[in-house]
Amino acid sequence: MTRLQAQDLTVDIAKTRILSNVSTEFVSGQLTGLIGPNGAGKSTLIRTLCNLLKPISGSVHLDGKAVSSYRRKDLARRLSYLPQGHIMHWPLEVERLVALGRLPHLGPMQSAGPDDQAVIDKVMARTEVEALRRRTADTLSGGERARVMLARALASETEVLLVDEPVASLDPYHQLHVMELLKGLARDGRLVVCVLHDLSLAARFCDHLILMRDGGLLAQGPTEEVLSEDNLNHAFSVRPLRGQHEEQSFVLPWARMPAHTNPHS
Amino acid sequence: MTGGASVAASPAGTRRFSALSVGGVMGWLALLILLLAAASLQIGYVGFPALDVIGAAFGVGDAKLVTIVQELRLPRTLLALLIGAAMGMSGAVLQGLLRNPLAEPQVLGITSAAGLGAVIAIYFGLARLFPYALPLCAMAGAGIVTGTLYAIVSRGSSGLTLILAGVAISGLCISLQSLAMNLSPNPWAVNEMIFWLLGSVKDRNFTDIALAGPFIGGGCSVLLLAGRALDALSLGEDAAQNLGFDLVRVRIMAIVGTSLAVGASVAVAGGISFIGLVVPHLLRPFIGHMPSRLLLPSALAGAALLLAADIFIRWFDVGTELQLGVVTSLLGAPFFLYLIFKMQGRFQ
Repeated sequence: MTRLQAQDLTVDIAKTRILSNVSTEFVSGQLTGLIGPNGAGKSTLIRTLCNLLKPISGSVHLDGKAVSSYRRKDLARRLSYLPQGHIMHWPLEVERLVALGRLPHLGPMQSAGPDDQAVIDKVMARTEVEALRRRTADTLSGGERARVMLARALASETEVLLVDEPVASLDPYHQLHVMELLKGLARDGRLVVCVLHDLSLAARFCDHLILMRDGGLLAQGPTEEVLSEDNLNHAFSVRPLRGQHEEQSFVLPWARMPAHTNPHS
Repeated sequence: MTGGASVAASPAGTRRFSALSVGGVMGWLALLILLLAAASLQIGYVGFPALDVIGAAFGVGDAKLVTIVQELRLPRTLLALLIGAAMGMSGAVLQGLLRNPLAEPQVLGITSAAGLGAVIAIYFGLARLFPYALPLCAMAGAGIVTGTLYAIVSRGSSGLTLILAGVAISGLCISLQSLAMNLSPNPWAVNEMIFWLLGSVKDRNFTDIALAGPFIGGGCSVLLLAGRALDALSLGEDAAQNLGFDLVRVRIMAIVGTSLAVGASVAVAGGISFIGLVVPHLLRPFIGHMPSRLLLPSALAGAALLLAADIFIRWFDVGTELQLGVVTSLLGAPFFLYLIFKMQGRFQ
């Protein structure tokens, strides 16, 4: 069982406090959604979890060992991070792009072998991008690009997968597709954390939710509990619409709260 | 390109030549270099039978011919190859590191800074005091500017800012070079500076190769080691770090490698520009955009291109022999302009 723990994280960026005293824990087999309004500190939390940002106090532990004390390659073999925006600076061939995920497993001058190729084929099949193998990245649609980048992260074969806004700017079909993939990975026993803006996707797919606001945690726990009326009012200043369909509950942000009750103003 | 703009899918997304292996491309380039080198050795004041000249390069045949070829023609040929390789590989690494297809030692002001370092060495007479002063000053100039450029990029500036910073740095270095010439009390020293800044591999000898060769070799070796990390950087800095790369180490390797290679080249041959810009672009249609796959082929193609340019200026007789740096600029600057037009709208 993999365990990723954050203890009393306080993070400053350019002398501005972004996170203060955040403590939480993630375990394998669960898809945890990180939700909250813009500027709540979701991306900062996720980047601190993968040791890209140094907290000014507090610590992140992966299986009892501080992430900052792992050797770079060792951490890279255990934890992969998919930044938001699906950055690709060069129009690489899709297969080569996915193969970049194997870099943590290769020596400095070693090139990818048949075992690596088998992993690459497997993750491309899982994310349904095999047909795009020889295409260059600049010719992909948004949905294709999102799945290719997910395949790249999966190619590292890590137990922990941290994903920042994987469905942003995707159409509904591709949003569902990516969420199903993430859910499936969690069902296979991985630890998956995902930043989301869409409350209905969070409600349907996530096992646990962490609700952030102003650099702190407003609520964390099972999805149903976190998406309470009070929490949504307080975090997003919206009144939700709730419903049931096919024995699953959904939440839609329905209306803004009146200005005098709006904690945002 | 950045992740923000997604391009509509096209069925013709694959590239025609991407199936070519790096090894195959390098084999063709090596063959081209051999042919160009053989051609380059033929050119001189006196014509000799072609095969005799090639034999003489290896020390076989008439003693006088061996001396002419080995002392006069071979150094020029080898130096053009060395410097072309240094410039080609530096360009490929800088484009990968800065993730900008316009990056190149000249465009970014690194060549001018190396030139300024060398001019300072000449101006203060350091070059006469001890032979390594000139290359060391040139490399220091290149190192300072490359480091400054990286500081600009790591603050998250756009590709456009980077190029503009390069223009500004280049302008500053050139005006400081002019200042040195302006203040120089000795017209002979001014002449030396100007000729040297125009860039040439004419009348060089094995001392020059011995001076620059180790630094260029060392610099290129350091640059080659950065290849993997440059691949990871295609996904952005966060993803590269998450894949296990130490970005500080990568930056230092790229800066040290570029400074050694470009600084040493400028120190013996003056301002030779745009090879590093052109070469990776010529190769990408054949071997794709993966930075590590471009490094060695860029060195070979740079060597071939610079030697071809040097053959051209010796063959193209306009009374006065053209300077190599002048010709590469004449070819490179329009190409730079073409790239800017091609990439319009890519910079945000």
